[in-house]
Amino acid sequence: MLSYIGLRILQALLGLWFIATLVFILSRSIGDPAEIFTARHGHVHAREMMEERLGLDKPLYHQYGIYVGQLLRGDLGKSVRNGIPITKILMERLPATFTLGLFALGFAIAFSIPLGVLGAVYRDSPIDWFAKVMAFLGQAMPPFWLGIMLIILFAVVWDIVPPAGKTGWTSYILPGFTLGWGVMAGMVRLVRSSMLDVLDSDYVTMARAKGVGEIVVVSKHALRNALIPVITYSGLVLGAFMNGSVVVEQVFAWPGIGTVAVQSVVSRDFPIVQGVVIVFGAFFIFINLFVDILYAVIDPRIKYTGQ
Amino acid sequence: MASASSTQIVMTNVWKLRLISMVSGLKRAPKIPTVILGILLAFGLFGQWLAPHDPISIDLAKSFTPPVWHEGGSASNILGTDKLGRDILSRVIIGSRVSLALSLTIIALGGGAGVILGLISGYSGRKVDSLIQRGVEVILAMPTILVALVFVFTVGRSFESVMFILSPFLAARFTRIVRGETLSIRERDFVAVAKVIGTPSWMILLRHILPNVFNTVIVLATLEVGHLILLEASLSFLGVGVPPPHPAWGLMVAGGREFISSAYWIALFPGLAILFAVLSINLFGDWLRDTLDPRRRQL
Amino acid sequence: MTEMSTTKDRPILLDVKDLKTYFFQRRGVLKAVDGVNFTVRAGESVGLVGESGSGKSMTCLSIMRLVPKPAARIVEGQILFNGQDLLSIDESDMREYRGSKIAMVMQDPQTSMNPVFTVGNQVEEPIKLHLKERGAQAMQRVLDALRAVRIPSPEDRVKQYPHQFSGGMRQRVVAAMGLATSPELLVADEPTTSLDVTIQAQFLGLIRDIQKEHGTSVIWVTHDLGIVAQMCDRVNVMYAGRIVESAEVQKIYKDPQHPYTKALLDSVPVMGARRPRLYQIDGQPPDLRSIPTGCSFWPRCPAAMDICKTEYPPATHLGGDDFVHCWLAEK
Repeated sequence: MLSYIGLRILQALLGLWFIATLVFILSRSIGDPAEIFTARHGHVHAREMMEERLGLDKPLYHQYGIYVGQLLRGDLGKSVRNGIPITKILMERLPATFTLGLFALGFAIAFSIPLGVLGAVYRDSPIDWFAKVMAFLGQAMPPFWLGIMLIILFAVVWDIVPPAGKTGWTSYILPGFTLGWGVMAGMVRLVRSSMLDVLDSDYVTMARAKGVGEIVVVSKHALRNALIPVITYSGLVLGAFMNGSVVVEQVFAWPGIGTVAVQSVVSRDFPIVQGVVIVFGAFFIFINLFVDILYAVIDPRIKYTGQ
Repeated sequence: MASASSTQIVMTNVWKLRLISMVSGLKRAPKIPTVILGILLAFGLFGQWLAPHDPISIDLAKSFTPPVWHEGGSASNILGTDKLGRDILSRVIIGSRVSLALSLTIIALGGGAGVILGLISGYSGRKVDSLIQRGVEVILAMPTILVALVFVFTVGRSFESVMFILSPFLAARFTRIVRGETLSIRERDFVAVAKVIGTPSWMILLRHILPNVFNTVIVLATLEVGHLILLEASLSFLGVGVPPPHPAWGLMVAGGREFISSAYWIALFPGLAILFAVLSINLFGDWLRDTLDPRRRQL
Repeated sequence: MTEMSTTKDRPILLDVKDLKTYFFQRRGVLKAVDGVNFTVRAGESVGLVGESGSGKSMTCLSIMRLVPKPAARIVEGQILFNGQDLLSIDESDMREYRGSKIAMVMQDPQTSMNPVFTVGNQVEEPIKLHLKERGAQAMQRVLDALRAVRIPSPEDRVKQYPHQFSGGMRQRVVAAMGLATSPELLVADEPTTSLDVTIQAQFLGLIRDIQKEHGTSVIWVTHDLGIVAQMCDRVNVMYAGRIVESAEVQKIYKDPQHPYTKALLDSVPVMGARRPRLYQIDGQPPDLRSIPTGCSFWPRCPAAMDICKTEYPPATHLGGDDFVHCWLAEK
């Protein structure tokens, strides 16, 4: 178990390094770095300062060394526009993104697991159809459009929640729902199909043959096994989450990282964008690490095969 | 010689049979999604003849005309007009072209690359495999929309730049699935037999493994079209899709955003178009998966 | 338990009457079990023999009332257990039978245990449910059950997971799950098919010992006539969803009545006997979606007559519980 976790941590660190390197390669290959990093911002010495910071007069491997060194010290650089350290900007915005994400995830889990389980247990019943419709709609609706439609209905026509911004707990409802529905859709289908597989299995028949009641069969014997593939796929779900949050924050003018990132792209504040990409990537990798460890806890077979 | 040509015949027959069964199987496809997909294709291919108006001609006199069922609506602009008086219906019809062209090109490029990488990764094992897998993980760990945003903004908005930046993400998803499939097929007896008689690796991949991952690839490609349409629409909503004046659904929704309290139709209809397009592709893909590849309920 | 020398005078424990279990599919109705009759007496070992797809497993699942829903349904018949018809009681009463009076062992020990719970937890389940024991008392019973199936150092093994057991050991654990509550009937659905021959012999010996000790009745589902000869008092031969012949085990080996039974016996290789070629039954078992009219075996039967093609032969009783469905025996 410990060696397994160790191996996964090592792989996660390797992944982080890959991402950092990829960002470096991208930033050096799409144009003149000094230009990209300072574009259109008329500080007198901006260009010279950036060249010095990035070590642009030195060979590429040396620049890479400087870059990695700064990253290791947690130095993501400063905003080109107002000189505020990027770590500070991101730390300010992180809570809003994080709480919205948690809200949406809570919503998605609270709906997807019961819907998926009931859909599988009562196949082709009205609840199964409801789950299917929710899932298909959630996967097909563009989140930005869903957000706008919800604003029209609930904020403009009925005026029961604020249309945008982060004001109180009610302001979480629309963006959380918008972000959560898409995530829920994938999870419902996953829970349902893996539940169907498990309900067909011999050990479930065996449990019934022991006289175990249907509720315990589903909640004890089937659910825990059915959640294993769900956890495996949750890494991909997270990808959808990050994409979704950029768009949804934009629609609802949510003061999170996604909004900052889009603003920075538009205003060509490249250091901030670079920082966001690295933070998102790192976040993704660490969540996946966490998921893998959780996986090992749920599925006892993992510990011994080391896979 | 004789045996080589007979295998040749057997192989072509397999593909021919597969094609025939696919075409005849289409009759059992779910009706409504198939019809919607047909309409969508017709929009994409013959849009300029189907659209009632020129989608980019501006007529400020007609701006903000509501749909026909509202007071003040006109029969010539059934779904109403936008801020510049352009016909929404025509723009929705022509807008399908960008979505379809872009997603199909990306499927061909990224999907093709992903299949090749997945086959190599799954078949070669060890070093090459773990190298490709690390690459795939990193690409999947990148926030797609954000990276695309940065890239397109830096190199300029165009069809090619969107295509160029989204293809690797798609390739990574294909690589992952095809690799998994290849890993299990590699262990099957017919591959072992082929190895024993000295078939070269590329031929094993081409003749024995590729036909067996084919169904999965078809299903995955179908389901990914829907995903790509959504992704493209999101980019275009954020202002980094294919540039105007060519109508794109995402951009149209973005354009309607400021007028949600006065002219909801500008944002509503292009969004519905996306919804129906993606919904029918997903339903169709689901049906394909159930028929071609029933083991993969999880795709 | 009653103390008697032969099994044929003992009271009837299970009486299956005209059981029909059908699969309702889009392409038609698949008659997996189509009018099965047989009895199991107390302490008796009854074999259920037939080719794959002849309906043996579905008969077992029907007895447990665990046919795969919603595709399959028991459409007709009675399953009398100690005189009580199991098909007429409701689901919660049926649960009182499962795992307490009737236990089951399935074919594949790899898949019949839940991979995410410890062995102890899974063996404990029927004990908690049916014997209403908890804590140390229940654990004691788990250890006893594991000892009864001869699992070494059960104190350590209970904390382990199924994947840490070998195939033979797992099948013993599955048997322990079933036998911990001292059931009256054990339904064993090809429990040794996936085991090595030596492990298989150990397992068979183990079940026989337990059976002797507790007087448990066993239904052995198998296609291995060797196991039947070794383990069973009575044999029921199944073909296309029906039992075509039922007889005591010595009788069936000496004097099989049904041509299908003869054919089955002829296709077993006999050690030392030299034959030019091993006998093989011509043709294929019928498609259960379209069973031929008349006797379902006639297309493959060497002695088929005209009447066989049109009418299903009734049961000809041959003394005791024995019977055969064949027009030849009728004459």
